[in-house]
Amino acid sequence: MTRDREPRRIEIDRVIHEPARLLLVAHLYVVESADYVFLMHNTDFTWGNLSSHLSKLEEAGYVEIVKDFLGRKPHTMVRLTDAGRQAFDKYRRQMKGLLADLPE
Amino acid sequence: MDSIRLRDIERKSWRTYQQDGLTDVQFGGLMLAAAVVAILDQLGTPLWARIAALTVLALLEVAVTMWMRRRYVAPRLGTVKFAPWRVRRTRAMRIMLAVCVLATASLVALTSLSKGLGIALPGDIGAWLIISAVILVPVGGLAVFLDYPRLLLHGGLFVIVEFLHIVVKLPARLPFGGAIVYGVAACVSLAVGIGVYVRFLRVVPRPVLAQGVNAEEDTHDAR
Repeated sequence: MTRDREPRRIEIDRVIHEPARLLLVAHLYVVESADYVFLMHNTDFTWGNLSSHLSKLEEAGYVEIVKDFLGRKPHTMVRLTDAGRQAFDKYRRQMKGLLADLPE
Repeated sequence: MDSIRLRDIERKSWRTYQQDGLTDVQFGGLMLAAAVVAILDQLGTPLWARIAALTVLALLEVAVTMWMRRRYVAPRLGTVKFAPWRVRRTRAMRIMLAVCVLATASLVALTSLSKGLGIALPGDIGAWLIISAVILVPVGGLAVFLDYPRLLLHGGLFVIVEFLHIVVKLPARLPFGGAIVYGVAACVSLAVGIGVYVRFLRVVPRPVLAQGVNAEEDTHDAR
């Protein structure tokens, strides 16, 4: 007799796991904050792509988008929140644990 | 996707800000200011006027390069606040460089005033070695800790200039010799800096932002 069982899943944060967002979070992790232009330059994302991924990260509470003014010009800075940093740390640990035991 | 090693990402982000060549231009500008001061020296201008000229020229070139950075580099590279450890390290290195520049200036002043004050200085080569060490140690430190190897070129140029000044005594042998030596060194530094800057402007275009938004002013509503 077979029993219906839920397939096993690995608890990986899918918000961070997506390659483009992983790259984005990694860039934000190593600095305190950065603006859109910096992120576009360093990740080669387009404006639309970047905005879309940042929106998802913001919805998850992983990034904070701070809008202020540089002189009279509006300026938007993005920073990883504490929750974002913790989530990324957790993701790193999980991936290390997951991949470290794989045979070559 | 390139390397996702965090260390590499942080380093690449940091080095991006050294690729505009403007720091090299600043070094070249300082050498150029020194050349102007050497010309004033040859013309018999008093010491206070030479110091004032050097200060004004140095401040002017810093202001010009800062303006160029804000006007042409920032819209291409964006704005970033680096991690506190990187900021602390940079600040420490800048303080160290400032102290060493002051020490060098004091040594140069002491050398020129030594006869009047009756101070015995180590021979020419000794003085040159001391000045070279005072400059090369912080510049070497900056080059390593700031990941900016081109600084060694400027430090090396300074050492050669001081050798020609102190040991070869070129200013005494050649009319406007001091100005020529500083001028040639300034040309080398400026050529490197301007070359890198022009290349940077060509290779790194202003990013295409959302419609109606330019790189200098992003917008709150673009998203």
